Amino acid sequence: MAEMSIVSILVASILTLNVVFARFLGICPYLGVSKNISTAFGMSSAVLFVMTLCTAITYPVHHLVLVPLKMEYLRTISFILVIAALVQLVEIVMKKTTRGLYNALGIFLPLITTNCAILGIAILNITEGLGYLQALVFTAGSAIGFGVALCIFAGIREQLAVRRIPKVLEGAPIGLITAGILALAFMGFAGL
Amino acid sequence: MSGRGSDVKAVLAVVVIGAVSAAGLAFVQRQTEGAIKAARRAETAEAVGRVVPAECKVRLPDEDAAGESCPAFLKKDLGNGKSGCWEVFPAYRDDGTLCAIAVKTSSDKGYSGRIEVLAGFIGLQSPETLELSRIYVLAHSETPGLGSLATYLQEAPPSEWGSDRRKVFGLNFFRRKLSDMSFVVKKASEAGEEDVVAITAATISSRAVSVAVQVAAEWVKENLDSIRTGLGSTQEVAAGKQEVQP
Amino acid sequence: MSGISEITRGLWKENPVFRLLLGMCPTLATTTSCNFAVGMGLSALFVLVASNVAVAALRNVIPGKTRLPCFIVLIATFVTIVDLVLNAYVHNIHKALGIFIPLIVVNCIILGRAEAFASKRPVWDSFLDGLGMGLGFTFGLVCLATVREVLGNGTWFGFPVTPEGYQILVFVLPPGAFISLGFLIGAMNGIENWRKAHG
Repeated sequence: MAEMSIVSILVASILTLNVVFARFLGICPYLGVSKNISTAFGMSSAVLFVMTLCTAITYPVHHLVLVPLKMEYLRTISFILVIAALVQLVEIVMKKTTRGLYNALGIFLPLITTNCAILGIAILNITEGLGYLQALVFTAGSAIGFGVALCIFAGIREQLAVRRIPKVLEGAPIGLITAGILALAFMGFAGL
Repeated sequence: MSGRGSDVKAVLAVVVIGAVSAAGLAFVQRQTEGAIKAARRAETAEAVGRVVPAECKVRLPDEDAAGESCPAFLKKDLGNGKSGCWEVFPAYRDDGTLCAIAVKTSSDKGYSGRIEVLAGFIGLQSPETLELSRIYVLAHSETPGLGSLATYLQEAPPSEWGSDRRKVFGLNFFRRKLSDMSFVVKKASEAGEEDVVAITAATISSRAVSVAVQVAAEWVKENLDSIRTGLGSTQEVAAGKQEVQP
Repeated sequence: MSGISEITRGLWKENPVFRLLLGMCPTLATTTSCNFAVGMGLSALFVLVASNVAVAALRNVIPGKTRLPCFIVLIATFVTIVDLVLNAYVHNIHKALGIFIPLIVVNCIILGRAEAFASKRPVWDSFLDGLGMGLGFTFGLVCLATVREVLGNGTWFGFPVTPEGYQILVFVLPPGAFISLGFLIGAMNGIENWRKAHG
């Protein structure tokens, strides 16, 4: 991926290699926070913001600190600590400054720490050998892809809530099956 | 203030646990370092061994002695000012002469993205004798099953491939003189002797592999002399000699 | 609670995959074959047991305020150990599981058990709890992997089980993962409801 252009990386991360449907990252919040479109949108915005911020910081941590010191094996620990710390920081700052935004997005923030998409994308930036700008674009694109997946899903779920489904399939099962059908649809983008 | 005190203690706890963990990890890392390097080398050696003939013995460069920089004869122009390094693995005969090389190449034009291929070349005396010995797909995200690269290529040894290039994609790149190949990918019904027969229903994947191999083949053909001098024979490699003429 | 029931709790009634719906990401991603599923499950099992034991052992020392970062550091350490060991000794599984090994760190099961259980219970109980949940997780992964591998690849643990050409490709692809898991959970729900109704 390191040899792709910025635009291709953007398109790929949103559509063809969608973080949820192709990479299987971010499933927990995907299933949990998609009951209606407004919460889905809120979660997506929070994810976009936090994820890009995290990449902006974890990337230099790896390349400027871990690699010169030959401590790449500390990557997992340092990345997850950075993410946890960042999320805490964002929450504190949001609470103090943009109260309105905090009320809208705040509840999602603790959930984001364990969102595998954040750590996953942060690590992928390194293993795919991306440059700094490429990494940021990739991250933003992935977050947008996550948001797209989440909002489409929420829209469908809002509809499902007023239909009859077999009792055993209520909740997670029908959610997963719907996700599967969506994944099938997204596979159509592969030729891009 | 008790609040402050307990705050400091709280943060101290994290730091201490962190320090102890980091130390423990450093220990584990040092223990496993050798095994990890060995596993990677074994993997590379196995892949290279597949694409070069049996009489060519693979010799991987000593990792620590190689250094970080890319020798001039291996420089790769990536376009828009960037340059990379070709990964080439030599194999030698028992008398020390260069027998075959395996070149790692790739293409981003696969159906689902990047396809990495290892291509073996023999007949390195001149561009006319240059021959593709075999290829091996190292990594891909293509659709498994129907049109799968794995199914059509590699796991079975060449002795089991038969001779139908439509059934076994690998045959298109097996013991074929470069001068006989057009690297044009066509469907089975339209392909000529010099073309590459596409895997049924997987033309895009087939084309990506062919392009990757073609890029490597053209580079090898153009730089045959410098590759031969650069990789030399075992005696030269052992003596640390490196010819860096372009 | 007897030791055995601690373990079986994690296997069925509170199975992390099918009932608690935790750890979805690796479940969907690493179940294209049973071999990988077992590799993933056992790796998570090790981390779960190790972190449960460590947290339980240190539960009176870790201050309440920063307990989450402490848990995270401990979990991440064990995950890195697994990562290094797999890379060194079982290289092909390491390559297959790829990014999902470090992602064990954010597997909600592990942090969840550390917070909800191990930080409040003695070491032995926490060990059993980790073992049970880990086995349940592995069991869940293998179930899903069995469905996907048999239907999608015609093999089980690598051994061919269906004749040539009877594979349904979609099951080893992402959509199949979602759909199979959906129906499996539905089936589990059905079994639970039947059991409740029939005492």
